[in-house]
Amino acid sequence: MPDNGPAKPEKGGEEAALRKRLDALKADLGEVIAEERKEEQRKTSAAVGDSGLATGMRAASELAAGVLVGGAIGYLIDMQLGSMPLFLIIMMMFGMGTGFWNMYRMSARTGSTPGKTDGTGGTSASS
Amino acid sequence: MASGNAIDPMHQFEVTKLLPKMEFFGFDISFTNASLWMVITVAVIALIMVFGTSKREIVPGRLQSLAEMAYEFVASTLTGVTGKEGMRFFPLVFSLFMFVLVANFLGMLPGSFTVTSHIIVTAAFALLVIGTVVVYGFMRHGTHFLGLFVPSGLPALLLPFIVLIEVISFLSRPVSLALRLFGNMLAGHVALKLFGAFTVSLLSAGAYAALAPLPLITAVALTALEVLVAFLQAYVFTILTCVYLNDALHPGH
Repeated sequence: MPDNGPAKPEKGGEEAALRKRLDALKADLGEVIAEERKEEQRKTSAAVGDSGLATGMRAASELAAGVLVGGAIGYLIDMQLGSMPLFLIIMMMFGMGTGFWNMYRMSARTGSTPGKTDGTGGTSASS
Repeated sequence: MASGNAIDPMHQFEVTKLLPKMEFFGFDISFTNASLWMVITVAVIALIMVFGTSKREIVPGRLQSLAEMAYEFVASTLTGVTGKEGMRFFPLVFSLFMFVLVANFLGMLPGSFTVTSHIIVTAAFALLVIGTVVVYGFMRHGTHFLGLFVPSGLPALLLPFIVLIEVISFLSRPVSLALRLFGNMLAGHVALKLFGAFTVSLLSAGAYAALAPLPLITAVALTALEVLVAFLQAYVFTILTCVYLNDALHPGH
């Protein structure tokens, strides 16, 4: 509209103000949308373990801790029952299994199946 | 080591009393070098936070952007794992992250004492985290919190085994949390000390002194790695805290 610009400067000013306001609103809207999208992305994408080194350290200590705790539980049971190496060995094996299970779960979580972590339980609906 | 001037890489972790012995109901609460460095750690954090947030400029200065970066980093890590609900744990997670991070970095200063290389410190943090998870989990979900140990959709035959494994898995969390931080800091500092000591003893070994730069280069490279590890361990500690808190907020994976 080239004709009403120079004829009525007042209207032009109003239009400019409106345009400015529209731009500001657009910017705000864009920000909100971007934030929401980011939030959503976070929820769906793998939540844990960004850097490889961090993941590696977690996996190693997960394995060690599983064996340690399993061994400790077995040792305590044996102390109570007086059946010394039996439960120590059994629980240590379970501990090792736990370590591997946790490592598997970590890799499954960071892998391409995000549904695994938040698909099942009814309580997760609150998130 | 065999020789008289033995390399003693563990000496740096020795806890010594700085003030006369104090007792509190039979517990030894003497002020040690470990206590001193914890106080320094807290003081450094407090200074960064107080002076970083005092001016509140729109264009932040160095200290302010440091404080803002720390806040943003922890907040995005926490909300990334637990969602917006998790922000109620922000004070806890932020304090833990800052303490571990600053303690790790202070430990990199020559002649300083690394607080986080003592398992009693890391274990206390781990127990604090797990204690929070257990208490909050039961407070909020009651016995539903125990559903954490019973994954849904399992054949009945497997159930006892999986429950056992899940219980061990839960119990191993504080252990792995404490051991990882402690182990990484301890091992890193021992390795640094060893390579430094090698350099010195090679220098005084006649013709072999020509080899002295080799461990020196390694020590320099290790220092860089240790700085990375210092940050990374604080980050890993924080993100695992968030993961465990997420279990307290939303049990049943």
